[in-house]
Parts: sequence; structure tokens; C-alpha cells
Amino acid sequence: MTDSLAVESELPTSLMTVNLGPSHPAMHGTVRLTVTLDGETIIEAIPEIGFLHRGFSKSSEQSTWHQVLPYTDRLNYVSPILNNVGYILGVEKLIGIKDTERSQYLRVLMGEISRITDHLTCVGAIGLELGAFTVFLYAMEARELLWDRIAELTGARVTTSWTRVGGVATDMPPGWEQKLRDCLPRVLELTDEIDQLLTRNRIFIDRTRDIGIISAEDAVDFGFTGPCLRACGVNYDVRKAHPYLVYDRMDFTVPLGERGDTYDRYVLRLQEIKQSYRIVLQCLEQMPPGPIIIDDWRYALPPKKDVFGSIEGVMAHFKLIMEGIQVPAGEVYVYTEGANGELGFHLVSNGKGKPYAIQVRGPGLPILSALPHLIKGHAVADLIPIFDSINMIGGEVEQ
Amino acid sequence: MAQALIDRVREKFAAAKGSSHRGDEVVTVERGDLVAVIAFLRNDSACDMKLLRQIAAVDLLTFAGETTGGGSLASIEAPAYATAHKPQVEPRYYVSYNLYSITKKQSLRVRVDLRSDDLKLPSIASLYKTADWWERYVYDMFGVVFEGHPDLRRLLMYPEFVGHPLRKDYPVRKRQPLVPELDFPDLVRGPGPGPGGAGVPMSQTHVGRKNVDPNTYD
Amino acid sequence: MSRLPVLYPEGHVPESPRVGGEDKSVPVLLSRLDESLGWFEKALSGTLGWARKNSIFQYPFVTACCGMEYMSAMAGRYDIARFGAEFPRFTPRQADLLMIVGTINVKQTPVLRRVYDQMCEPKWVMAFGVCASSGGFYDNYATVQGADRVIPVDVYVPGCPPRPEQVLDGLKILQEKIQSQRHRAATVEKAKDVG
Repeated sequence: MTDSLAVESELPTSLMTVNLGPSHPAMHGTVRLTVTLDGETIIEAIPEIGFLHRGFSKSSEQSTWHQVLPYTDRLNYVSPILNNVGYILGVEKLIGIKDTERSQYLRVLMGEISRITDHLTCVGAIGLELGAFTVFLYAMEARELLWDRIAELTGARVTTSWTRVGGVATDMPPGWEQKLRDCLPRVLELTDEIDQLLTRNRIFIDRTRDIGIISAEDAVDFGFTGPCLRACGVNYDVRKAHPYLVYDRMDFTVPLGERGDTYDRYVLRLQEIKQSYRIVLQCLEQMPPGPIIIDDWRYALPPKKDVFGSIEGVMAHFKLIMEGIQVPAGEVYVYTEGANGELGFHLVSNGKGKPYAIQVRGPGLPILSALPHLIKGHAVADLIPIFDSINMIGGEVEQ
Repeated sequence: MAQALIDRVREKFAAAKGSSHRGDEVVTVERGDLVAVIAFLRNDSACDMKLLRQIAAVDLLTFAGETTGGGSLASIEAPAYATAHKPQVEPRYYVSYNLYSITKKQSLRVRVDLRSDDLKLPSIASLYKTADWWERYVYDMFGVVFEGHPDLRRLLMYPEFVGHPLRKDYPVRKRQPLVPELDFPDLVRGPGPGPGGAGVPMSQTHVGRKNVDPNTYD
Repeated sequence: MSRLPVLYPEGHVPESPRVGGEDKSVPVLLSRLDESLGWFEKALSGTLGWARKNSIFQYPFVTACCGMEYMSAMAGRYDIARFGAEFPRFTPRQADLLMIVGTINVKQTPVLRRVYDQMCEPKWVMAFGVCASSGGFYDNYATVQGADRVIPVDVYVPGCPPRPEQVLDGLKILQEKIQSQRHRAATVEKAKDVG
């Protein structure tokens, strides 16, 4: 025994550098990690990003304020409505207007449905990459049910571009509310099945408990927000701290974790799905009838009968489409609770119809920058659940 | 609420100027005071701004002159006219540090103006760990050099890229390809086995396949 | 068996494949080569084509939002497994279909080229989504205007992102294309590089 130990200590070992390249299933497509390994233990990891940088800021400077909306869909492409809502709230803040009451409820309703789809995708991916393919299929089926509802209301499954300055584009079709009420229990049923499969599963707990722990102070120092921060026990949710739209009228709790490990981040997301479900039901109860967009033709397109029937209508339509909404000059930072954390838009306007500068504060960027801190000392196999649980979405990190 | 913060900052740093727009408070400081102001905002118990949300930068080159919005000076290559008559705006850039206090629920932006011939700032990566990547982003996109940064290199663009894309004088569609870009594909044949031999790739077929300059081909 | 020195006879204008058309109306790679093949070569080519089209091993080069619809196409509802293509092989050495799912930007092009070069013949490429087909609406300094500027592409599936039904339609067109290509039992010469 001592002989072999003596031999082992004399064996020349060296560190190995492995490249988990940008095209890798567990890297969610676009992150390159250069890890230095001692055996299976990660000594150091250097993330390199930029493989999905699509020039959002530069392209949005060439488009009118409304034409930027499709670009915002593709930021966090798993919950696009939350991005639409965040961006339009910024433009409305710059102008100084508010949307109608019904549209506020609609935005909250669809935003929460979008948040549920984001958490479902994240949980499904965690299951898939740890080998639980059934969890992935259940999560995808639940997501399909919700995407059907989103498609019936907004017109698109994934990239919706649904909000407009002063309101939203489309209202609920007839019968939609009943269909939503019918499909939500099925979504919850599938979430419960996922819960039963994973949460008390010995293998899952062994692979995710105490993996990727980060303390609360480090998390704040690294700029964490959202579920990753709440898993450390810090109670910061923009919907409660600075309520926007009608979140102050909604009754929901914010789940908190204790240890800041991967398991907490996973369980937190499941609990947030249930809280979002509560918010959706309350929105359906409280939603008032009324217009879904304001009647101010400087910002909202006039109804078609006025466009074709009156001079003012056709002029307003022409100016809005050709020149864009004339947003007064100024600079504003608007922040909402995206599915991964605080999604912020830093908007600068110079008074014309196109944005002067837009910079997105994607919640994933600070969390990804903390990845070397999270995985140091763990095995390569632990990298996978950690990377899944932080739910880095390439679109919002790299704009 | 954040006005109180601005007042506290102005008590200690007399050169700071406060402003507010649509409910957002901004305090503009000199470059020399920047690290001291941010350290004060972070460590003072009444401010307690432990969360650095974002470091944003804006290039004011076309702010006044642009008639249709915020666009760059050119699409692919800046024509000689635009380069010769480029508007001169000083200070041309400003960098904005967006701070937040979770306990006090207050936000504040700290703004520093920069001239284009003196594009340097002290790094705050020692104060906030998240500043590391945000400063790399601002360096990559605007060319602001952060002195004291542990590892200042490009974040999103590749090292062979020349220029800083989000500056207003960088043309929008000027690509710098890493791999030579090819022309129109041959719509008839694919790269699989087919007439002409196993796996003759489409780039080798006779139909108009040649390398093109991506900045002229559309 | 001698090889023909030309690819098509003069005056032959190939039509592009009709989207969702029937099998008999997709003249993708027809040429007089077909008529000159003996019945054994034709039967062999047909059999190998049938086998290859029904057991596609994909390499999903997922970058962006199209990945969401890719996940939907793999999952239970829009089951791609019914077409034999369910196995994602995350190594190019074992794959024959490179699905470029999402935007390709300039930084990603060397990676894409290397992955394509590492795949063995026979290989096909599907451009999934408009960003991979033509750059999408990202016409700026960062995005390559279509993956076909870098590697040859067989099937383009437009959409932003395409519905899973569109993806399955694209897969069906690719299967028709594979069937109509000439398949040999063994190749005589080395495949050339993309260049």
C-alpha cells in the first residue's frame, strides 16, 4: 500500500487542457470553455463568448423604435414576450405615457406564461443532459401546450413581437380564455410529473446537491439577479421590489433557496412555475374589458377605418410607418424581471424616430462570467448540471 | 429617494453634478473621482450599492447632426465626403455605471464624459467582480481602455477584428471575414454523392463558384 | 464503369424542387446519367439511397432561437423519429446531416468549416431557419449572410423560427434529394476538400 503511494507521488503528472468547444450540446450552442484539468477535477475554466453576437445594438440603430421589437424577441428566445414587454416599457418611459389597463393585464398574463415556458425549457434541459430524457419530453409537451395558446393570441409560437407602444397588438380571440383554463392544469400535471421524477431522486440529488455553490455576497458581487440569486437566499425580485404594470395587484410569493447550489436553482424554478400559474389565474379574474392600445395617434397606429376614411388617420399612419415614433430625447434605464433575472434596457434617444443607442443588460452575462468561480474544484461531469442550472441564453448574453 | 443619494455624493465630491430624467437619477463625475465615488457608494452604509448592473457607453458623434435617428456614418464603407466632413463632437463618449442597492432599493447611474483623444478610465474590477466582463464589453465595442483591468481583451468580437463596432463611424455592414466567403451556391447539386464522383463539393463545381469580397456582394 | 466527363447535357435546365411536391415531380438531379446506368447500378443506387435517407444521423449545430423549434421537432408532438432521423450524434465523425440551426456569425465560421470538414462522405447540409439560409434580418458586421457563403448547403428551411412542420417538410425534400442522387457501393477516389 505504501509502496504504491510512494510510486504514485513520484509519477510525473501534468495538467490537461480540454476545449469544450463552441459547438457542443451541453454548452447551449455558443460558449467555448477552455478547462484545465487535473485528472477529472477542474483547476481553471476560461469561458469565451461571442459566437452568437448578432449586432443587436448596431442593427437597432438602423430601425425605427417598433422595428426593433423583432430583434428583442431574439434576445432571450425562450421567453420572448418578457423581452418585448421590457423594451416597450422603456420606450414608454422615455415618452412618458402609460398603456391601457387591459393591456397591462394582458402583458402580465402573457409574460407569466412566457416565464413558465422558460423555466420548463431549463428544467427539461437539466433533465436531458443528466440523462433523464423523459423529463425533457414532458417539459416539451407542456411547452407545446402553452405555445399553442401563445400562437393563438399573438400569431407566433416563439418570436412574438407582440407589444406596441401604448398597448399590445392583439387581444384574446373568442374561446381563448377557456382553452387556457383547460390547458393550464395539464401543464401543472406535467410539472408535477417532472417533480416526482427528479426532486427526490437519489441520483439527481447526488449530482446536483452542493454542486456549484455560491455565497450570497459573492453572488451580488458577481451581479447575479433572478433565480440564481434567489437560490442563495437574497430576496430580490423586481416584481416585488419595484412593481411595474399590475404586479402590485397580484398575490404571489417569491420562492427562496438556502444554499445556492444547483439543486436549489432547479427546485426554485419549479416553484416559480407554480407562482406564475397563480398570477395567470388572477389576471384572468381581474382583467377588465376595454381597448388594448391607447388612442393617441402620435404613438399608436390608428384603426384601419380611420386610415382609409379620414385625412388625419392616413397622415398619422404614414408618419408612424415612414418615420417611426418620435421619442423625445433622453436616456433611460428600464428594468423588469426576466425569466433569468433582471432584464434591463439602457435606451438613448435623440428625439427622432430611430433609437440612438440601445444596450441590453442581459441577466445571463454576469452569471456566465461567474462560471469559473462556480465550477472550480468540481469534476468535469459536474460542469454539465451547473451550466444548465444557470440557464444561460446566448441571445441575451451576446446580444 | 435617489436625490438623497446624489446629495450625499455631492457633499463629499463637490465636482459632481446631478440630473434626473423620467425618474432616473444620474450623477456626473470627473474621471479622477470615479473610483472614489463608486467605492463610496458601495461601502457607505446609507448607500450600500452592492449590485453593479451594467456599464454602458454611448458615442455622441451623430447625436445632433443625424436627421433620421442614430445611424452610423456609413453602411459598408464610409465615403470620402462623410469622412472629410465628419462632425466633431467633444466630449464624444460617455460611460455610465448603473448601480443598485438591494437593501435600500435605490438605483443611481454614475456618468463620466470622455474625449475621443483620451479614451481611458480607471478600472473598478477590484471593487465589483462583475465589472470585469462589462469593462471588456465596453472596450470591445467602443475602444475605451480601462487601466488596471486584470485581463483587458475583446469579449464578443474575435481578436483579428480591427476597429470597434459600436462607434458611430464604424460602418454597419462592414464584415471582416475569418473564412473566405463564397458566391451563390449551385442550386442543382449537393455535396453528397452524385454524378461527377463521390462527394465533389459544391465549391468545386463548374457553376460560378468563386471567392468574393463580402463587402461588395449583396 | 467509366465516368461521364460532363455534369449535364446541354440545354438541360434543372428545375428547383417544389416544396412539398409529390415524389414523381422533384427533378432534382436527373440527368442522362440515369438512363445510362445499368439496372444493377440503378437498383443498388436506389437501395442505398433508400437506406441512407431513412437513417439520417444529424449533427445539430445549434446556435440560437431556432434551437427551440429544433427541440420541438425532436420531442413527442412533431416527432422527427418517424422519419428515421432522431439520433443526434454530437460528433461530426458519426453524423451525415449537418443541421445549421440558428445564426452563423463571423466568429463561428472557422468552427463551422472545421465541423463540416470533419464529417465523412456522404454528407448533407440543412440550413434551418432564415439566419442560416441568408443571414435573416441581421445584416450587419457580425453575421454571415447565410451559411452557404461558407459551406455548401443542400436544403434551406426558411422561417424565423420555422414551425416544426416546415422542418419536417425540409427533411422530406432532403430525403427525396438523397434518393435521387447516385449512390455507389464504394468510392474510387478521395473526396476533395471544400477549398
